[in-house]
Amino acid sequence: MSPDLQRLLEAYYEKRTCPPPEKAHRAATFERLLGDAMTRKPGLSRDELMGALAARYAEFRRQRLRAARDRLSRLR
Amino acid sequence: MVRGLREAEENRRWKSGLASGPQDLDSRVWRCNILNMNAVTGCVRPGSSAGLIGGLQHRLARQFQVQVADWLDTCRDLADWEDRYLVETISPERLAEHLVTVDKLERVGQWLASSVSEVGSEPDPVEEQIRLALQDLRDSRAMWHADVPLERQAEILRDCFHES
Repeated sequence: MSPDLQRLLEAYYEKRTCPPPEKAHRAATFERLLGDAMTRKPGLSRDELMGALAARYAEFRRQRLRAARDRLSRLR
Repeated sequence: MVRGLREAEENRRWKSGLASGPQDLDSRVWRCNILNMNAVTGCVRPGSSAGLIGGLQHRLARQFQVQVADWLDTCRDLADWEDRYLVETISPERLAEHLVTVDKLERVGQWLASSVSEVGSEPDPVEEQIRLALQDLRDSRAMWHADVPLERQAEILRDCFHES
């Protein structure tokens, strides 16, 4: 997975799950990264880009969940 | 006169939860709001009318913020729900359930957004939090339910992120 895509997916998850005081900052980071991605393909809509990310987002989250489970099992 | 009495009775039944009104999520949220209001207005002590209204506005704003916080927590929980039912394993039933949940949360959020000015909450962090959470819901719907053909997805990922 490219670093740009990884950063965007990370920012997406963070903006959705962060505590309220961090929300504006996290959302701004995501909007900046999303805007950067959209400028690379003129005419691309936000919804279309989000729709194209579903499989990669699932892959990204599965990796994170697996890593969290591994960390937990090492602690036990 | 008769109509007035009927309306008063309807109101009493509605506020006490006896009315058989619409049971959709918005209605339930609205009724919850009204019931909460009743709970506090019962404690108001007589005083100047300005004091009464000021106190009421303050309590309404405080309760409204609690309801917004509850809705924001539920929106945040949706990301964990997605991890469990869409990321690790996915089924058409769960996907359909997700869409219904997003729609319902969005409707409540729109109701909260439209109520911000009504309850006298400052135009402020609360309004901004609602706006941002509504955007999260729109993004989540687009991610899981937008109908983007596989070829187009590959093209987007290649052009935007150099993904093969």
